[in-house]
Amino acid sequence: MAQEAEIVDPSALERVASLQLIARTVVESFIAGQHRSVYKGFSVEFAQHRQYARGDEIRHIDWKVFGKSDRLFIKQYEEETNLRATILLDASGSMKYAGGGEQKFVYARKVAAALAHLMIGQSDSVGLVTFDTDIRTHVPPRSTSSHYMNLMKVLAKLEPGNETNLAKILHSLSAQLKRRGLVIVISDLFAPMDDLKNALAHFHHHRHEVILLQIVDPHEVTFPFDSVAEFRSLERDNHRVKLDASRVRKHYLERFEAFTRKLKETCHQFHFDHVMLSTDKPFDQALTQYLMHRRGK
Amino acid sequence: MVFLNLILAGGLAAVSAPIIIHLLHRSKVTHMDWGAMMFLEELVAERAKRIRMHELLLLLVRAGIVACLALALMRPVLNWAMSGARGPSVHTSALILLDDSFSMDAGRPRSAWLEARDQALRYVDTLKKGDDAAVMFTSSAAKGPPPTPLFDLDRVREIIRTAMPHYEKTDMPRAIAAGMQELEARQNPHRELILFSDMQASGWQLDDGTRWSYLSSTIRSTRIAPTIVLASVGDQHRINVAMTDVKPSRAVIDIYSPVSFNFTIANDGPEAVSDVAVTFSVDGAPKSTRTVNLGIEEKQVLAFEHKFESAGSHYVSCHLRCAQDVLPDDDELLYSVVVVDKLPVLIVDGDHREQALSSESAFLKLALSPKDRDDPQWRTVIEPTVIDVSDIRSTDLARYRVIVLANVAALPGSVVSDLERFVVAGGGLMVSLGDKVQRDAYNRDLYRQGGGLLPVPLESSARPISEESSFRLVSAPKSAPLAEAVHLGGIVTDAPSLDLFRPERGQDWTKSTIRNYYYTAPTSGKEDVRTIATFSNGAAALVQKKLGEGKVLLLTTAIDKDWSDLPLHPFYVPLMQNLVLDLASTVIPPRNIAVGQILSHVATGELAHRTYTLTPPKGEPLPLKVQSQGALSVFSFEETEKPGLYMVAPEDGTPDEKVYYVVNADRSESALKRLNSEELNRIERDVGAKYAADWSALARLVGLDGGGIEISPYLIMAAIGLCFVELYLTRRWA
Repeated sequence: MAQEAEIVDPSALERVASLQLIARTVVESFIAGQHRSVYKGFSVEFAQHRQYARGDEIRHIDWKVFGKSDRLFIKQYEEETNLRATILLDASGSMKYAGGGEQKFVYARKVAAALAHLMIGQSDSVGLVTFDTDIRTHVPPRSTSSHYMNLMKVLAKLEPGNETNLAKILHSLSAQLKRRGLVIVISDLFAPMDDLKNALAHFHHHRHEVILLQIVDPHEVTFPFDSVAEFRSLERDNHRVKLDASRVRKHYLERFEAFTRKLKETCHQFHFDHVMLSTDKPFDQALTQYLMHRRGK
Repeated sequence: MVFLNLILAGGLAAVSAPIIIHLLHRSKVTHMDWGAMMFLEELVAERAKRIRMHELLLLLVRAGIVACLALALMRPVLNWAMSGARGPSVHTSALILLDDSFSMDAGRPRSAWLEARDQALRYVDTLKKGDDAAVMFTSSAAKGPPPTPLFDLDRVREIIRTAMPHYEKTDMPRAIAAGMQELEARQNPHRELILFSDMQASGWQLDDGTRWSYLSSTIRSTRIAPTIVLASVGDQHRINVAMTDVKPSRAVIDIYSPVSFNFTIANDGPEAVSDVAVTFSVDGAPKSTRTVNLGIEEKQVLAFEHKFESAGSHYVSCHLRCAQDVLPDDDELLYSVVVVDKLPVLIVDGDHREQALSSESAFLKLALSPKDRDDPQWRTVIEPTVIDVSDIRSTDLARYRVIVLANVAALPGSVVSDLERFVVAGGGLMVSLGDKVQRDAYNRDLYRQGGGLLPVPLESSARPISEESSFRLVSAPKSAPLAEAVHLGGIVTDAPSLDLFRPERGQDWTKSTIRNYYYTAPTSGKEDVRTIATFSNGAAALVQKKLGEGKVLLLTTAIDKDWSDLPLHPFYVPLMQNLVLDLASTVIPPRNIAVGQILSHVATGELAHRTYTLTPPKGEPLPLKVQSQGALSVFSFEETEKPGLYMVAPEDGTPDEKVYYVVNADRSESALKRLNSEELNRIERDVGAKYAADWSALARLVGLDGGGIEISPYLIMAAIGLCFVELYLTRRWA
């Protein structure tokens, strides 16, 4: 319970909860019932007919049309359904880093928990996928309160560890997620940009909506070191790089900014959202900021 | 390149400081877990090689800074030309080696010595502030403490101005070696050894290859090779007529017969000289004067005969006068003479017999003190005393100048020891053999494995001793096996005691018959032993050994007529007298000594307790230092730098008690012949020297237009420059 209490910070949840109304009205993906979903299904309002095919449920046959044309048509309806969101939480070794703020993984886990709480609180279905080199847990989306507790338990048990292969995981998940929905990737996204772009293109191809919540430590953004240091990889054993931080800072920052810029460009290309969350700032403020930004769209 | 402060070479270890700092810095690297490795990996991949190159360059620059400073402290000198020329920014240590031999005094009106002094002063003028100089003289080189290097060049000038020639024998290799050793201890980076000399050939000892090769190796092993210049001074063509040698005709000079003094006069000049007046004097009183003419490089021996009236110490001299002569120091030659009125000789008879002329010593005694029937007053200086071998223990050997052992069988050990002391102190010993001689005892006690009196061991007699009884007759029997007999044969050319008996003087030794004798071991390999006469078959007849201050002479046959008919021949008397006189010729201590040699005077008995004074040439009497040695008193005087007559006399003594000592300068200095070009080339090659025929050549060789340079300032500048480079690179690459 202590772990759960840590994950679901009541005060944070309270702060996030105060954003619910705004979130419901601004973000269609976050707020169910305010906007028609783009996803078609068998729900309330008729959308169109199509020719019957074997395997279709008989109850959806429009017998009136059959009576008029002697042909079997299925009635299709516009579904007014709640959101199906899948949270992809990066549990790789690089998420263990804690320099100028909270550990990235702890921070990311809180963000995931908060989002799950928000979405389940408005009857959206939320699934959870954690991964490092491979997918470690895959909890399909549901919207029940017991499901929420189940998610909390999964998150509480989770510890970051191995090397990440973000592009491969995203490729794999985009193939697995049959139904279109919202994919929230919570990760530092430190992966080769070309591979990452291909993976995101895959999601785009399947018409998923993707939000990339990039979790970064302030030190990773500013690289404030000024001595010769040996940087040991958190993902690969015995992988280390020694250099004079003061000399390489400029070049590091250039590369980091270039990466971020390209990531933003890619997201813009695919109409995905990209939000950078720094662990030295409360995530609720960052989310609020993001949602406010979305409202302005 | 050479280093003046090589001791600071350890400072180069500081070069390791940047490396150590680098390594320590490495050990202090901060270790950090990091997530965003992908960005660093890209950097490393791009920059790792360049960074390593930068770090290496920086490390080299920093090590270079330290190395430059360390090298600067070692004061390196770059002598790129190795020409020995002086550099504008380098200090010089100079050693002025002045040839102060008396040949330098040659030359009229201006001597080589004056020219050498002037050139040396001129050379000092070329030195600058910070240079040091020392003045060394060839006469005193390697003797006593080395000269002090002086930075006060005025003091150096004063030393040169007040210096005078000396009369000691010149030894140039020794002087140059001493100069090199002195220069080696100096601190300035450039070294110069300038020899000012008349380049007289005799002092260079070029025939002594061992010394020159040693000198060459010494010079090659020096830390900083100096510039060695042989600066020639004096005239090239000088005429010098000199009295170069004197030899008395007899080894022992007595009051009974005249003696000839053979003075050698030599013209060393390139021109013949005429009307050279030579005056012979005895005890300072002129006795005769002759006029001689000498051709180019001609030598003549002038014999002046004189009979001394009184025994004791006398001196003779020869003085020449020649208008063309340029060197007066060798115009007079003095010789101290000890005149005796008696020469006591002890004959130890090993085969004494009552019958006339049968004793072993009979013929020898007659030969040493013959009588003249026509002139009963006539006598020789030799006073022989014959004793039986059994009486030798009780005899005071010190009373005699010469002892003869005639066919003595063997001697007790104590007597052998007394004889050894006698000879070592300057006495003469003659050993003649015969049938009584116990060969094994001789070899054991007298030869003593080469350390004793006998010059060589006895091997075997030519004929068995048992057969000798048949020859003990006045004349040999006709039946004697003469076929095996030999006669006296060869004479070693430079044996003065046998000079009269050479075949060219009309003596015929071939008529002598030697029936028996002892074979002896060869004398080869022994410096103090030599055979001076042989038999006709080549076997040794007379073998001489130098032992201490005295001499031992071995006659390998009998001295009477038992083994030979020698006493029956006319030459027997002069031969025996000459052999004995030669053995008695040693005068101890010597009264004719060389410049620099210690003058010693020995007094015995009552005289030993008196105070003595010494009157040097043109000087006042000085008290002599005395050292008592038992019954003897030895007076000594060490300051014999001036050649001439030194007179030793007891205070308030009579004129007869005066003892004359003569100190002569080395007459090799009289040969003013200079080194020829071939010899100069050899010296230049062996010692790396350069010959300067005159001042302009000397100035050129030690010129001020290039040469070595001390590069410490440049190294410091380089270090500063590297500091700026390091600063720039650090900033640029940061």
